[in-house]
Amino acid sequence: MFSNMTLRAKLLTASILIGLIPAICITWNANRAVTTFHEIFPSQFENIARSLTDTIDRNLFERYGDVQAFGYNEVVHDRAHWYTPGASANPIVEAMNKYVVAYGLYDLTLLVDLEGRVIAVNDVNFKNEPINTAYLYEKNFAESGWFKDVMAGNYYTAGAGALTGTVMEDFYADEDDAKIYNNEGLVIGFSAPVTDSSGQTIAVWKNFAQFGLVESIVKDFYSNLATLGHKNVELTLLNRGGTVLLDYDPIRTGKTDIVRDMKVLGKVSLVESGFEAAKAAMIDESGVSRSHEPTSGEIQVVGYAQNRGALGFKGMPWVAMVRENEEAVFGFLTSIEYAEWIILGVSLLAIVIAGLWLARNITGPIDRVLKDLRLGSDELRSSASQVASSAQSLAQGATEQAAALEESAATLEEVSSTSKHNSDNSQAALGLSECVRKASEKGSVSMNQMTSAMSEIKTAADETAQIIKIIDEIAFQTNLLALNAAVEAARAGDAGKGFAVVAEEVRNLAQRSANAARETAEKIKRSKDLADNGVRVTAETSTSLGEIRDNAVKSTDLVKEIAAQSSEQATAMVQLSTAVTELDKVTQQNSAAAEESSAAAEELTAQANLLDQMVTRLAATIYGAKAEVPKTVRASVSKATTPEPKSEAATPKSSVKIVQPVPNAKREPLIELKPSQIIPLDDGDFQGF
Amino acid sequence: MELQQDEREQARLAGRYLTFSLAKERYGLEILKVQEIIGVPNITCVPRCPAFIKGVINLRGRIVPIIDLRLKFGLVEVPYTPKSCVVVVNINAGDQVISLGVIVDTVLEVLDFKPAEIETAPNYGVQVKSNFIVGMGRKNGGDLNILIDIERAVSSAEVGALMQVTK
Repeated sequence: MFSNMTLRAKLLTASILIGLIPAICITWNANRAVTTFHEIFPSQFENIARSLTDTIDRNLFERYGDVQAFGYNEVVHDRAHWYTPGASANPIVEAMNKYVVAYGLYDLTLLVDLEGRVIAVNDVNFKNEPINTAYLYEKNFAESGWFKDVMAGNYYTAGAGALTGTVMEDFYADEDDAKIYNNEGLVIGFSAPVTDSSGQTIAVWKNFAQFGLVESIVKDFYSNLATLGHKNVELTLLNRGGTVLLDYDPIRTGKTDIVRDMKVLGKVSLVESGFEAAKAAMIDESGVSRSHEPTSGEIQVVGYAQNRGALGFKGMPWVAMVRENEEAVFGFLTSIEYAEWIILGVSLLAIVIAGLWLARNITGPIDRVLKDLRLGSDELRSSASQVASSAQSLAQGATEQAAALEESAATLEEVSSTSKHNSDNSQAALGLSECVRKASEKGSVSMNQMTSAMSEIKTAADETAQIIKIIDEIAFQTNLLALNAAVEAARAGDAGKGFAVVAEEVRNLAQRSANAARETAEKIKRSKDLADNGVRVTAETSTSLGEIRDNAVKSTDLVKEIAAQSSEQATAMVQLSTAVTELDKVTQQNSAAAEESSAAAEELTAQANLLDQMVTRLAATIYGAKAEVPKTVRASVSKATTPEPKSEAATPKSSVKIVQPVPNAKREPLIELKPSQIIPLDDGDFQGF
Repeated sequence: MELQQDEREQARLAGRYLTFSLAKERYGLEILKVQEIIGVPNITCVPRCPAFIKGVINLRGRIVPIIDLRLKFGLVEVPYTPKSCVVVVNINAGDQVISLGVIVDTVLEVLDFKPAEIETAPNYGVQVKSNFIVGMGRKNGGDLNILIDIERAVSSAEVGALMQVTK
């Protein structure tokens, strides 16, 4: 599966896996922490509720004891002051006023006798201000519940061994208290019997503790909670019937004081209104509930605890509830969760981007290197194969060259002997050309003599022609004479007939002589022409002979040079022979070297193929086994190599050239020995021959 | 009638002729008109004469005018050769007989034409002044000889001019 992936994909996958697993682990852990927090955090509310109940119980434990302690005051035993209002008249009242002021939390403190009549009551409030309590002396509390309970010994107690001796009245609105203090009269009543020294019950003491006591406890508690970070909580106290005793929600009301909503307090039952947490609180001693608050409709996390008492005190019959809007409670957890998801998302994105970047940055150079490698390997392979073929052809060529060299050596032997023969022949030719030269010189002399003879003949002919011309003139004159004679004879008529015959004969003779002279002249002229011709031919012959002589001289010189050069040639042939032997040796070495290089080239080809396979495997690793990428790479490589065949084609040629110059270099001096360069002759020099 | 006239003419023309050559043609001159034959001597030029009159010579004390027959016959003039001759002829000019030198290329021989060997001159028409040709002589199938009458060849005006020269 992974082998089919490209390196980039692998890197990407790896980086994502590497980055993702911790991110997921962290997220999971954080989630677990949040979940745990979800589970644990509400239990805090339970603890807070528990703490609130404990605080209340610890405080009210003291109030529980106060009433008994007040009863131990011996001033009570002085019956003389009983039923007398006013602190000045009644020391009990004085003591009571001191208690009230000192404690600062009692509205009223009341002492009644066993018939229910008021013995004494304080007449100042906790601020030491006078209050009107005198009318209470007129009242009889014998029918009051608390009086009956005290008289009956129905103390508020947890049972055997626990604190006892006090009757407690749960939160209620006392009409007297309301009347005296002109308020709701919310109080908690604590009543206890007062005994004399013999232990006989003589009276009943009742303390009216302000409900504000509890309210201030709750307020303090709230402010403590606020310092601990719970600023949005709503604190509620219920009695065991689910009725609201106190509700403190400064955020909702916007007031720091506890609002006493008398429509609610002591009247509205949260159990009846369907508040699930309240129902649970009535059953369980403590716990946490997630409940739908019926009035506001919001979901609240509710920690609740029943008062369980403290220090032997049974505890108030109440339930404390610590409530907070769920969203407010878990808001930070939700934000943490959001943050988690955002962090996870961002880190995922970052991981992917980093992975891509990494993959690109790693695969990019590798890709390029691979391309180069592929290019190089292809070139190497083709070059190697070319080198191999070149080396093979080189080896073959070297072998052929060696064979050719042996033939050349044999031929050289022949040429050497031929050159020796040439040298001998050129010596003989030298002698012959010398003879030719002498003969031509003799001929030249003879020709000169002949030329002068011809000239003489010509001169003689000219002279003869002159004579003949004179003869011709004479014949002409004679003819004229004969004609004149004939004219004369004709004039003479018949007498001149004989003379005319003579004249005719004379004329005939003259004619014959003229003819003879003409023929002779023609012959003379012909002989003269012949002589002229002879002279001309002789002159030409003489010139030719001269040229023959000159050329014979030149020829002699040439033959001499030829002889010398032949001799040199023979020497050179010996050197050449040595050189060829050397060359043969070198060629043998070349041949061996070519064989070796051929083998090396084969090895190189094999290595190149191996390299190519390795590159292919590398490409498979990078691009994946089935990936088409290497082909395109290969295509691009082949494209890239296309413009290069020139250099590739040039390489074998040059390698061939490297091999060949060795024989060429040694042959060159021999090739330069051209006859035309040795013999300073043009073709024109031979035209005379 | 005409034949008879020809025969008479042939008979009249028969006789000896001195033949000479002129521009490769052979001419015949009645021998009795010839006084003598000489080589070409030094000729004294006479100014203001017709071109064919080359001048005069002194022939043994006599002044003889010389004409070039080539020029007279309208042929091309050539330089004289050693074989060029002057044939001195006697021509009748009125009552006088004057001698005249005629330069020919060369003299050839004296031929005796019989009447049968002569043909009368052909009639060329009036345009051609060929009346000085009297006939053609041929000897035994030999070369044709143009027989001329030198007196006719030289017109009377020319003769007058010649006479003027001789005086």
